[in-house]
Amino acid sequence: MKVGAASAAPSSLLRAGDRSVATGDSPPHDLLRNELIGQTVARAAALSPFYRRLYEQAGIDPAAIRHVRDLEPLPTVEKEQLRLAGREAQCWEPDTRVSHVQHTTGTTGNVFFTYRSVAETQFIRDFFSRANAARAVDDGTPTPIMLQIQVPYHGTAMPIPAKVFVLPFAVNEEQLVDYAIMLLRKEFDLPGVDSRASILSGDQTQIRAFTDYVLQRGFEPRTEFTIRLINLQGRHLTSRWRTILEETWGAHVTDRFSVSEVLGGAASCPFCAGYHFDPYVVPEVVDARGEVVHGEGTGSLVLTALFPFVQLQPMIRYRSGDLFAVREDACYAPRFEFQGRALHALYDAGDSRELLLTGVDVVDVLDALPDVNRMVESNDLTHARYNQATGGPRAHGVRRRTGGHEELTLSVELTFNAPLYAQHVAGLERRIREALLHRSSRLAARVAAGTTRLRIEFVAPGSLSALERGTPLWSDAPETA
Amino acid sequence: MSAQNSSYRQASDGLYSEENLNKLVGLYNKAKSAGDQLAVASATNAIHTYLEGEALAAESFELQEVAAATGGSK
Repeated sequence: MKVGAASAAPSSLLRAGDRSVATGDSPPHDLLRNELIGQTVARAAALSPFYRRLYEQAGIDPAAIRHVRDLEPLPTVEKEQLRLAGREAQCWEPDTRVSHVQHTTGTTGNVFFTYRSVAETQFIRDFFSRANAARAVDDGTPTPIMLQIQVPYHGTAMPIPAKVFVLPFAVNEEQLVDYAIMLLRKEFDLPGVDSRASILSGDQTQIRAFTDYVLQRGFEPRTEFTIRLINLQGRHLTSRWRTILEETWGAHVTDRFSVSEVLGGAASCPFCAGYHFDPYVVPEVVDARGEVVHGEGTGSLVLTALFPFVQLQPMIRYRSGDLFAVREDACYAPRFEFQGRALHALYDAGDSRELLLTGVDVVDVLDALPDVNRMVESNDLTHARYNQATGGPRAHGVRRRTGGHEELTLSVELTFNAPLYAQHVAGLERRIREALLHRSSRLAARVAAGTTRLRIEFVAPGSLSALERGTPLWSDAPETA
Repeated sequence: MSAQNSSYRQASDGLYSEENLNKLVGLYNKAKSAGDQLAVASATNAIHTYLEGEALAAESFELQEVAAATGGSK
């Protein structure tokens, strides 16, 4: 569960479900989607043998797709299907030329490459030049200076024009960190441009590492620097880290959810603390039965990228592997809450619709505890003595079923040998257990009824792997009588 | 190229016209305007109003390219 600022918005503006403000039958957030969805599906069916076969086999006429709600009968697709289909899942035209190559991280061993064409890159450039220009307020304020970490975790980033003066930085070696600090202190004298950097933007892992580093070196970013906004991409932002970043830098923090395969993602909302998806991507949440959640509910995220923002690699009803809760009337647009990777969720053993714990539940609880051992992601900065500011917690869960009872054991790796600090560890066990039960009323009810037992087990350093995106958090032990 | 592909392509050429680009931008900005209004009404730090990841405010001149949008999932 994300935490964020309480709503300070006038209630008259909080009317996402109010179609009176819409044009025709579409709420504002669906106008662009409804304009482009028909062409998106028709083009994929015309140019991609994979999508054409998919829709023929499902008995679907692509020409019948004219509205985002028409998407529901279309089959969903997964990364492995697209990877195996290769060029057959892409839309090649005689003059198609590739300008950008992007890819997943491949934590499961199978990297998925996405290719962007010159035509779509040009369209994105033209579109955002106009869109961002049209949204600007001509109040004479200077262009802000943004320090942006550019790390090619996912290939070549798409260039998007905006009113911002970009200075790149990195934190993977001492000299580059010193360079970043120098830029933060620098007073510029450039026409139409702010005098000092006011925005930090980029990969969350790197910005966490940078924040930890400046604190270890004794800087006071809130007073020494002038950062007003931190814009994060990649990985789940825990409530602890949001607070650290806000208080350390004295800045507003926004974060984005996105996947490298799909252009377009979601930005965190300061009013509802959820995410709102970009108007040029169609989000759906699909429950365990494969049905789209309307109104309110939790399920797997399905994304459709829209033509002409995406041209060479169509992604139509693509299952991202992430779990989201959606509530359509919670803010000015449907509110989505990230619940972690679907692989990290724990469901009832007999009913896959009964969600007991999400990956975010476990990560957020463990993230708050310095005793929990984390993966070390970087170890080469001379002035950084602490090296667990960025890595994920080392934990694994096992479910054992015996007769009508089940036992859930969450093993957590500590930074020390637990038996040497028995009293402290007893308190830690209580704290983790209570926090998990507080987050899941469904699990708490089962524990209270005596049908489920929740155990927290501590293991010595070096016992467990870090929680990876591509591997399950929970496994089932063989059932015993 | 098949006849089906060819006819599709002719139909899609209009997407890149000045008129169509402006239409799409208009629809995009209608979608974004509700959030912008909220930010202004609640006196959120003005910079945030126009900064939601890759959607950044701009004037019609002085546009820089921001490397963004490849993301990487949570």
